[in-house]
Amino acid sequence: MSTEAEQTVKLVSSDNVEIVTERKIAERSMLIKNMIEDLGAPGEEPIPIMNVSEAVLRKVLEWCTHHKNDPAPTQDDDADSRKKTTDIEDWDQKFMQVDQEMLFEIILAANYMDIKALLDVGCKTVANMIKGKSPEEIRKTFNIQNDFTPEEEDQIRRENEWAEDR
Amino acid sequence: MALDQQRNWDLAMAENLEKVNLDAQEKKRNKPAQRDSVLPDISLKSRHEPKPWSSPPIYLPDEILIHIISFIDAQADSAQPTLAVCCLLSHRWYSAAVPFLYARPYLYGANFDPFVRSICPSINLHVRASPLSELVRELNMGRLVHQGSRSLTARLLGRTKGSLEIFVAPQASFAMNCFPALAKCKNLRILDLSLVSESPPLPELFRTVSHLPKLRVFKLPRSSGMGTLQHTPIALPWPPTLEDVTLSGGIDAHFVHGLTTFPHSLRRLTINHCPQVKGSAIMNLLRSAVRPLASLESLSISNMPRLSSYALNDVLSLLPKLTRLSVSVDYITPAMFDIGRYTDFKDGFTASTSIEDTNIDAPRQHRLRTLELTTSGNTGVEDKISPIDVLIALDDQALPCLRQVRVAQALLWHSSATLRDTEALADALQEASKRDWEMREGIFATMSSQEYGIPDIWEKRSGVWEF
Repeated sequence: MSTEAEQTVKLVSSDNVEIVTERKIAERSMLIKNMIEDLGAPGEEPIPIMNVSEAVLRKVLEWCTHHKNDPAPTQDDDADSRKKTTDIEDWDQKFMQVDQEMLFEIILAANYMDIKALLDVGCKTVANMIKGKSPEEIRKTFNIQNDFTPEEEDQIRRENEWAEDR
Repeated sequence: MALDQQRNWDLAMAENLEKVNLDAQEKKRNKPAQRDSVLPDISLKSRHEPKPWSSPPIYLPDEILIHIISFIDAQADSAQPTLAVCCLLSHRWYSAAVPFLYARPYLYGANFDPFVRSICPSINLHVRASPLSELVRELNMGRLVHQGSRSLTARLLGRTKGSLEIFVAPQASFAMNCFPALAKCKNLRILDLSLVSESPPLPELFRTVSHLPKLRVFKLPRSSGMGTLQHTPIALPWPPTLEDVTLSGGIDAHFVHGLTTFPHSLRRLTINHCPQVKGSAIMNLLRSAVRPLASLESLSISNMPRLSSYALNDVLSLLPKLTRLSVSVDYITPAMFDIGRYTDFKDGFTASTSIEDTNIDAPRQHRLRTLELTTSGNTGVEDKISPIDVLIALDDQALPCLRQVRVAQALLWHSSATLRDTEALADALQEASKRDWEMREGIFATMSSQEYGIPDIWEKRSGVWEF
């Protein structure tokens, strides 16, 4: 009988690639953890990760491997948004040095797979990239369609004039 | 000669090439190391120069946009302009960012007028209401000096009344005409009038504020009602859930006598800057109105020019359940820590209690954990309380729960004459804290096991601080 730490699970990406990984690593994802609990007998049944492609899933698992021994997150972590820290640890920073498409894919995967710490790191990275840029630069960086009419844009600019940089 | 030049040239070029190659290698090798050393923001900014996005746009759901923006909002210093930029990206980004932008506007002189134009586009609410005004949760007008007017303050309160949770009144433009709007701020949790230089009459203010069901923190104007009070004691209605009150300004004996009760929810009381209040009035207040408060934890008193140099010696005897006391040394002497005084005083004020009660009620019951010594600007007060006095009180078990002493730098506890005594006190406090930790008593009794496990936590939670 293998201990929990040595158990492996089989994940299947959206493009039907099977990836075998340690159960402990996969369980950084609450989605997978709950699935394993529901299914019982881990390792036999492959677990489909429907919305995540192989490339992204491998990247996500890379993060989970590095963080597999982190303490479990507490429930009331972000009761007050102002206590939020915007620091990102070095390893995570390097991990997030990917193109913006991949960054968004990681965020979406973390959201879908319910890995709160990874979702936070992704969102912090985007937040840091937004800082200090003009609207046009941000739109280009993240491929955001400007759906304002010139009049609307003008109106918002006037409305928020007080908040602009001193 | 010409040949030499050619040779030199070749040589130099070869050297250069070598150097360039070497540099390139060096750079490659150093790169990861350098990345480590730069601050997160800088590296992130320089790294992602807008590279054109090659694939079709990826749709991030609204909750993720909001999550991203909440991290922008957390960068307190630079959040406001960045949030304004986010509002300009697209309709979806606008909807996600605009509540953050207006929740806690940072207002200073120059941006006040444009802000008011956005929140109150027209004097007449029915002509044009701005939906933005509903988003304001914290309105801090404390940085304004001569901008605005009283009617403008009233109008801002009126527009934001539904959502407002924190209001810091401006120095020069807060008056009675703000009361009707203020009374309707049903979600107000913190009302800070401490900056108001010309106070509206207090009875009206209290009547207004007493209707605020969620108010927890209330700071009175520093110059409240100078000369405008009627000379009859008034029964003041308090908001029902008040936890933290600051009394200051022109309150006088009549006002203090009128304060026969405080709300029972009160946990922190601050009394400062009351030029008209005498020692007897304060003691009377503490005895009749403060002593019955079961949940009071913290009391601070400072800057009371009419108090004598020993006026507050009985504070600890009167209020044995305090866990935190901040007091100016101007008004106390070491006699404050005398256990004997408690019985003296007990004979005087609560003669009805039996002698057995005295034993139960004895100083052992003192729960004071944090003592803060400040100064109110009188000269020659440095020697009034020395570290030794506090150390004796600790050794005598007069203050068995004392673990933290905070002391104003102006009291010179760090000077060469007292430094060793201060260190001795700090050691004694930390030792006591270590005992608590081992027995899991005091603050450690209710501490989460995660926090309890922090190395040397007992050391971090006890000692002497200068500030």
